[in-house]
Amino acid sequence: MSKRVLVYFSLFLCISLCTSCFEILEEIKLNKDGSGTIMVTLNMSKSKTKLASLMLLDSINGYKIPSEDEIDESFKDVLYHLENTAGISNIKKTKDFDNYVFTISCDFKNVDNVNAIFKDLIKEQNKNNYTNFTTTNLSYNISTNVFKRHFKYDDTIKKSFNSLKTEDRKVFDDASYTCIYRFEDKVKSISNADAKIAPNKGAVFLKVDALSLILGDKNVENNIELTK
Amino acid sequence: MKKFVIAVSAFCITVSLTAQDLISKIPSTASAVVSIKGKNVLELMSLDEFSNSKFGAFLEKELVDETKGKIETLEDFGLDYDSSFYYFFEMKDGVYTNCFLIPLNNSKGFLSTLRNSEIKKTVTEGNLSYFQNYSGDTVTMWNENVLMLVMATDKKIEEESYNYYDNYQNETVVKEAVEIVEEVSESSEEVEEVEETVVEDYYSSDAYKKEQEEREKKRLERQEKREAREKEFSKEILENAKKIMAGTYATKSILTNANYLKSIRKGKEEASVWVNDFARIYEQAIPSYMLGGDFNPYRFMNIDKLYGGLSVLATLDFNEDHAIIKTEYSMNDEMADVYRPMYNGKINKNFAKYLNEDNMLAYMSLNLSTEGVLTAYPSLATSLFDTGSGETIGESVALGAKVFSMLIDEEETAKIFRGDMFLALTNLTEKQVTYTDYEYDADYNYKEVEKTKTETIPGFMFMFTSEEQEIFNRLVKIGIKENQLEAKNGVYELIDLPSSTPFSMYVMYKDNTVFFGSSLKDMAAIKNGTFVAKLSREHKKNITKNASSVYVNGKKIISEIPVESFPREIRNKIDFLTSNTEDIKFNFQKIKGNTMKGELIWETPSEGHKNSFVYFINMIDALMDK
Repeated sequence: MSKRVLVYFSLFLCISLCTSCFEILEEIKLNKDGSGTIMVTLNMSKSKTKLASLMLLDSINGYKIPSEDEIDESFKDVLYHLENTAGISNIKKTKDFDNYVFTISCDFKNVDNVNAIFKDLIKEQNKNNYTNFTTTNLSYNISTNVFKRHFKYDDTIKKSFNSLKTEDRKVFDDASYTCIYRFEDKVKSISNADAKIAPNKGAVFLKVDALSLILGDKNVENNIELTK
Repeated sequence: MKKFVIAVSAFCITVSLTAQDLISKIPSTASAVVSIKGKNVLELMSLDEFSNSKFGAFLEKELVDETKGKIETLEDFGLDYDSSFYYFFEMKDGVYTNCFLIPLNNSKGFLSTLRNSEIKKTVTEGNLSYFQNYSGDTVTMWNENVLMLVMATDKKIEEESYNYYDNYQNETVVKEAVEIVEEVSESSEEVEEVEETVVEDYYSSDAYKKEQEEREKKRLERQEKREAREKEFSKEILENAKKIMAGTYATKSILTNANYLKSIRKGKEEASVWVNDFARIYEQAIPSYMLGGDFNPYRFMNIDKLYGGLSVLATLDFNEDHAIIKTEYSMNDEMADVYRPMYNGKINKNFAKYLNEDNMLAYMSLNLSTEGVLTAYPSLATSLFDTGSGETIGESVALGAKVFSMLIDEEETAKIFRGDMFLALTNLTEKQVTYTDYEYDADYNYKEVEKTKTETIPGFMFMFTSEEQEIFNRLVKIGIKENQLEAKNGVYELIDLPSSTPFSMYVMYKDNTVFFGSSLKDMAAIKNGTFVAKLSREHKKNITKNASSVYVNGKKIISEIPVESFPREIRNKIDFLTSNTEDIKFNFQKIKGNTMKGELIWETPSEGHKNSFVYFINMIDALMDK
């Protein structure tokens, strides 16, 4: 009992003192025929002291903290969803609870298969919260050889963020979203001013801090024109 | 004699109050009274000084915006800031009344804040003006000296709405239950088809229409009844508001209430809250439908024993170098007899030998008596539940309490855990932790790399008194054998904590004290007798004399917490906060007579701040700075 009280007391202190941030890495390798591989990584290792403390608690600030088992279950749901999405294959996952790094990757026949993964989820979100997020996140036109990363900013993101407590908003202070797109053809031009083209013209890199994304100052939308 | 003293006190208080003091408008039956003494506040900070502060200027700007320029300063608002402001709460015959009494110099300022619709419905009777809101449960009333806001709710109207919903639910549930029974009796293959037909037929049937008509009739009857009651209630509130304004009560004003008079001090506090007789509040608050049902708590509990005579007084006082909130809980004799032994513990004086205030950020001591708690709880349970009504629950609790009392040896249990304990938050320490990051080459191929960063981890020490070293030793033996503990020269490390737990934890026993802590260095020094202790007389006194004592070294905590841990908005104000934050203390005294007293002291630096009230305004100003 005393041990539990003490652990909780100290954990609360750790949670208040330790920094929290995370990085989402989205990497897509696109083949000439429109098929490819997508890998999404959630890296929370910079916050691992805080997360380790959080994981020992049942809830904090009114939010329930999932256990490792519950996270595992959610992972299984995601994999099940992927397995049942047409055109998706070679699904792989990694979980590292010591460093809090989680990865999911899969092959796709065309980018519409990737859109289909999130389509229902986004539709539901738009319906329930009156948002207007696009259900098409990626598109590729073989004839024009243009790859597009779509993104439509919705004011509700900012509203939701502003409704968070100051303490909860801190989570996004040092968070970032990174997109890397690799192509077999050379990149001719890009539309996003914050993105960079690799010197070998084979990849496009874009890193946006989460706050800019949330507040609408920057976004991940990008029209990437490839040489024919 | 007692009555004479009260009468004399009442006379003195009445004479000392100005003729316009609004307290005389509060009825003696009020359950709670909040007062803010404008004069005392203005002595701390004049209205001009407040208006010149950033916070004051902000409020005035808001006033200008809200009133479209009709009011430009706080002075224009017409409030008599030099007098006392009051709020009271009264519960009478199922009606809850909340009333705010605001002293005015004149009503001009207030009138300029009114909307056209409010001006139109204002009724003037002599020097009294008022209007009611649409539903009639709020009255705004004023004359040239007082602005009063009365908000009331009628429990009966609310319960009527509840009953309507409840009846509707019951009807629906019964109907659904009948349908389910009918459906179950059908063969499973036919169910889907039949179900749809039955539902369609039912909703177009005469029986359904009749049922709907009856329901509508009942609803209209209820609505009519409710509206009639609301109209009646609206009149009652208005009459009551007039009575408050006139201050004429058959039961007289609060200044004849002995309990309230006892709570009034020398009058130096800036604000006070008084809540009287919780038993009456509980009795009034409980819905009437519960009193007749199985869940009536009065059937199996002596509520009056628990809450009878319980009152609370809290005062807020701003002094030159500290602000203080004093609380006082008064209880009935029986409850005081039960609680007194619980809080009558003896603190282990050895605790002071293991503390060094130079390395301490905060502490909390708790001085309970396990023996007192174990003796008191069964008698408290018996006293509360043994109502003599023969209710099973009451009899069972009383029986359980008796058996518990027979099985537990209070004295022997207290040897294991005496009830006195101490938790110290010691200096924050920096720890290097690794994390995964990515390094990109020119073509944005990346590889995972391990980087390190510094995290700040708190240290702590927890101690409690236990005479049972044998039990501790046996537990340690089991812990070592089961690979839960690792011995380190008489100190034992808990090695079965989750690998990601951000600190280490050690346990040991010395001089009738069990220690849990995060610092092996401190624990080893205590074990070897080389620990350098330092604790001021004031801390020692607070720890030993009080049932509980909390201390926070504000300056040290703010200066030690890394800047990144603060919200972004105040990171550039850390230097200001460090030089302007002092200690915070909370002491909760042992029960004396029938009273438990507590005080929260917020020390403030006198340099740069005329007094503690000005300090808080200056702090708000500083935080408002961008």
